[in-house]
Amino acid sequence: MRVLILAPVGRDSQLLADTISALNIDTQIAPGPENLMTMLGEGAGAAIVADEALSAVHVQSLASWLSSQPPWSDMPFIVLTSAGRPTPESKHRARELESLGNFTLIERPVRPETVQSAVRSALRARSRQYEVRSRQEALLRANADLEQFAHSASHDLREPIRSIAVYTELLAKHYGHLLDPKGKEFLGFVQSGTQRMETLLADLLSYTQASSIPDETPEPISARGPLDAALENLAGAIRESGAAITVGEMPAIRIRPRHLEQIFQNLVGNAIKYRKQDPLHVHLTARRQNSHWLFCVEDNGIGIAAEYRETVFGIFKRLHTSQAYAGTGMGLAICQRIVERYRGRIWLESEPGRGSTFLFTIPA
Amino acid sequence: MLVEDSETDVFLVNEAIAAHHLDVDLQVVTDGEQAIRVIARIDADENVPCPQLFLLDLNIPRTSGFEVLARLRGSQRCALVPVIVMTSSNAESDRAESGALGATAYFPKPSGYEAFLKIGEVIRGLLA
Repeated sequence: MRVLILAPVGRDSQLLADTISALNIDTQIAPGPENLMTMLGEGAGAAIVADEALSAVHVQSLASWLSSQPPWSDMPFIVLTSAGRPTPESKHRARELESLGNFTLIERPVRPETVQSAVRSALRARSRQYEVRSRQEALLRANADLEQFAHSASHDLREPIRSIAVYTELLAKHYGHLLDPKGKEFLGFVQSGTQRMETLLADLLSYTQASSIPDETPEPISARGPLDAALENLAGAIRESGAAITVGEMPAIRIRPRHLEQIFQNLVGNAIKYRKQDPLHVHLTARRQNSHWLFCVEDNGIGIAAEYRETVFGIFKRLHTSQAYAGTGMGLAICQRIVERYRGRIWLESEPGRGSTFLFTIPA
Repeated sequence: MLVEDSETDVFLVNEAIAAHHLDVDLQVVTDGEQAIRVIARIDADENVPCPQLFLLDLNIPRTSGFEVLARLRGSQRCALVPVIVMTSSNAESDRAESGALGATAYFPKPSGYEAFLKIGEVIRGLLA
């Protein structure tokens, strides 16, 4: 890492350079403020600037450079201020600089040891920032890989499964009569296995897509629309189960409709799936709580034992065999991903045998 | 013309054509480069007829279906021919990109036989 130096008097610059070079740190002297901007853009560990070298105009262009830094970067600056009693102007100036970014002000005359110590600490801070950058880059690469995987899952993996599904169907249709009961049973296993694989892939895809929801705040929409869409998708299951669904007043929140629909569909779908013999009642409400909206989906189903209240949100986590209750174990994992991408939280309260309440928050 | 590398899907498209009694002479190429060569030949020689309809799989060897679609829309003689993009993916991004590149219809390949035969209806609609 190199340290950039800007001082109006050439001799001062050289003195500073010598002081820093004594620490085996590279230095580069900027001939003028404009050069400093260019050199900062090329990368630096820190910059030392004599206060008088920066006019108001330069401070402005420095401010715009500072605000254009990537999120990981907070370039450390060491500013050598003028000697003597602080004037109102110099105080104002100091405050102005400190508000712009990572500025350490040192009053002249300075001892070489003070400069060295300030530079060391600035470079230490800078190397931390570089670590953050490389971690962020690794994370971005991992995300890109994940998206690539989602894409493969949607194309390359689905294709052969689709063929198996269609052709076992044709096999059953045209040659089913040639098979004995055992053969028919085997064919049935192939078909249900294929169907299960398709569902798993579709769910895995939703999950990876939920992970790559962009970090932005959408315009508010009424939660009622996505809720109605979810209930519409579940219409068949609701009719079959005879479930009574009641809905309280729904607010407008900042979320993409498709994501809220997915959450409601998974939660209400689960309530229907894990019902008891008694008539099922699902009640949905929302209320404002400080800085967020709290949504509750309450049912009188079989409930969930306390020890599983965290695990049910895991990928492919299931508490029952697929014979007892169909499903891939991805629904709640998808809900959790979506809610967390919107900086909310999801959890559940339950009394086994009496019912469960799933609660989630979305920032208002 | 059908651009499709999967034999099983070529078979299903033929089934769909038969099931809907369509009078279609289906020409099949199995990768993107072949498709692009065909388009270039049509543009170079006025005597080569341009297909009345393209059925285009997105996931094909050598070049992507998107590239073939772009080439098709940039072609002199085939630019206005209807194109059905058919793919295993139902991803929003694929649908959007197909639309942006000028696909006429988008058909996500279903996992059921009867559902797959519905492509016959789409073909009929675009040939009429």
